[in-house]
Amino acid sequence: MTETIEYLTLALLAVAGLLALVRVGRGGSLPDKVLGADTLILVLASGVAAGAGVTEDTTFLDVLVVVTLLSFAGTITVARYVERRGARA
Amino acid sequence: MRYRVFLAGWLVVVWLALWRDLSLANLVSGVAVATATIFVFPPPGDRGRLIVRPLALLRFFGTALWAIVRANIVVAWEVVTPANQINEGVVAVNLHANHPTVITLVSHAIGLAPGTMVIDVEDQPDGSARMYVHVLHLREIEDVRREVLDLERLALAAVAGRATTEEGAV
Amino acid sequence: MALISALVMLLGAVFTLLATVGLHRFDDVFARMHAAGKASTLGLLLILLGAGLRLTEPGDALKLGVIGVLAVITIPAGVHVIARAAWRAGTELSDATVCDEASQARLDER
Repeated sequence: MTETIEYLTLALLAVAGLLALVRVGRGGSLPDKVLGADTLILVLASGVAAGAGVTEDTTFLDVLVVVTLLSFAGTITVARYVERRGARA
Repeated sequence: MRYRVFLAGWLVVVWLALWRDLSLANLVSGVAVATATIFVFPPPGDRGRLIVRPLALLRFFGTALWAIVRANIVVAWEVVTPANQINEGVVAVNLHANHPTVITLVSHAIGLAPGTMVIDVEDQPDGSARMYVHVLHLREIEDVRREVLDLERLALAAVAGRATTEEGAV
Repeated sequence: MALISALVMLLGAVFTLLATVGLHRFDDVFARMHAAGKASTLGLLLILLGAGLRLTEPGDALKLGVIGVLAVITIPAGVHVIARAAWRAGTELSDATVCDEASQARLDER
């Protein structure tokens, strides 16, 4: 029972990641793609956290801290670029 | 000065978390590294003195956390239901405060609350700040303004020690 | 305990999935930001909570707590920065917009 739930969790996160990736590729304008990329990183972080919870292996939690901070810094940097460049795809 | 101590404390917590082993040696080394970091990279001086009331600050954070729970129930409902009844709108709200920390706290709380998001903040020529809030379901403009000003009142009580916003610009 | 942790994590995964479904369901970039920003924050927090129920060593729980605090601070701020950049770059609001006071100000500036 617990294992089924765990597999379902990881499967849902995989689907979420796929949807975010589609938005990055398809997105109507540049901010859409930036938002998709930011959400994709968040889904990845959630996936790593879920994997750590499922396998009880805490090796990758340090990666989570760094990924959270770097995604923030990266999003701000790209957003400033978008401001200058305009929102055309 | 108290702000720096608070920042150093937070750095010590992060240090302990990264080392995973909450031992005395890690605590001492964490305090040393945090103090050195704050010394070498001092936080930028803010424009005005902040009077932090811990209880009011906790109340503000509690409101924000409850807001995100509410927001996600709303978002879940919206994404699942097929009817497309979105009336978006952008509302301009004149804030009383001008201090960056207060504006940051209010923007965060708005970002976590259901249906609202801050798009831009502009400085008006008379020194106050004007905040543009994007709302997902806009029914009454004045309701949005009241919600934002309530959040601002909570934030001011938390970090500026004001009971009301009529006591002048921060 | 493992069962409760798995259930909480499943709820977090559901919210994260709702966030990305919201990316596709709304047709305006600002509405998408509402869904993506708020739902993925809570999704990540729930998953961290679920993992914390299972990894009960204080060091691990503290690490998950720090990640949670960082997430709550950085995710709404990141979404806001994207919104501001999109706004200043001139993205148009969708047709469902009822009232727009900021565009008025933008027109006045021009």
